[in-house]
Amino acid sequence: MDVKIEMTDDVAVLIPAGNLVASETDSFNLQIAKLIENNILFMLLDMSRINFIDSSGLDAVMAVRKLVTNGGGIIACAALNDNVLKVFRVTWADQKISITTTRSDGLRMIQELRTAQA
Amino acid sequence: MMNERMLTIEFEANFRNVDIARAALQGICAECFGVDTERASDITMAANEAMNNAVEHTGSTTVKLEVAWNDKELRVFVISGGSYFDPVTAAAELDQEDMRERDEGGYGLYMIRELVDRFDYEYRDSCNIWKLYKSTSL
Repeated sequence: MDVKIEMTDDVAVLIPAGNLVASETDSFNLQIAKLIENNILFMLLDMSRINFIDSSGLDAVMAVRKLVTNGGGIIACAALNDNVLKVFRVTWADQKISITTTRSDGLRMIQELRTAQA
Repeated sequence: MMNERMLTIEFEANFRNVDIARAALQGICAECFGVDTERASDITMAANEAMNNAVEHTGSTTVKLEVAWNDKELRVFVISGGSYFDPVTAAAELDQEDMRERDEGGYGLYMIRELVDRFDYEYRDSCNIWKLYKSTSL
């Protein structure tokens, strides 16, 4: 899976593209693990290029959330299409991870939480 | 008599093949549900979970996807070998409280239960048959 990574004010914006499904989660996890190894613990998952997600993909997102929050970091997801958002809603994952409509809203929210944390 | 169409795909049990089978199902759903993309997506997601489960947990070397559709209903059967496992009972035991507290895992069965109109199971001739139903007309 292609995951583009952009740094914006110490927040890693991850932009995975395609389908976040069982056949792709190993590749996704590997790329995220590298960021966490490098102590990057403020992340925004820009999901605007994810067409379809399954429970394995959701598991991968929730595993990243656990690693990031256990390390004292903050993670949010942004720009989910209707189908992806439905998966988060049906499984109650939207109650466990912050979701914003746009990438800029997500970045703003992470910065506000960081300020509150400091 | 109702005009019914059917497609069967049998594939080697791996996740790449699930992607291909899902793409075929997406095409059928686009035809069945038309502009109702949400219902089309619901049954596609549910069937995808059933196929993933067959690949990951049954130990079966092949998985069969049977899709039948008419003016009223789309039926998806996911058939695999392996030992008896009743997903309907397992899914029924998952409640909202479980899901709220769960960090990882168990999402698949819950998704199937929530996304289809009816979910049945049969174990026949040493095969697990997961039966998913979605009405094509509201």
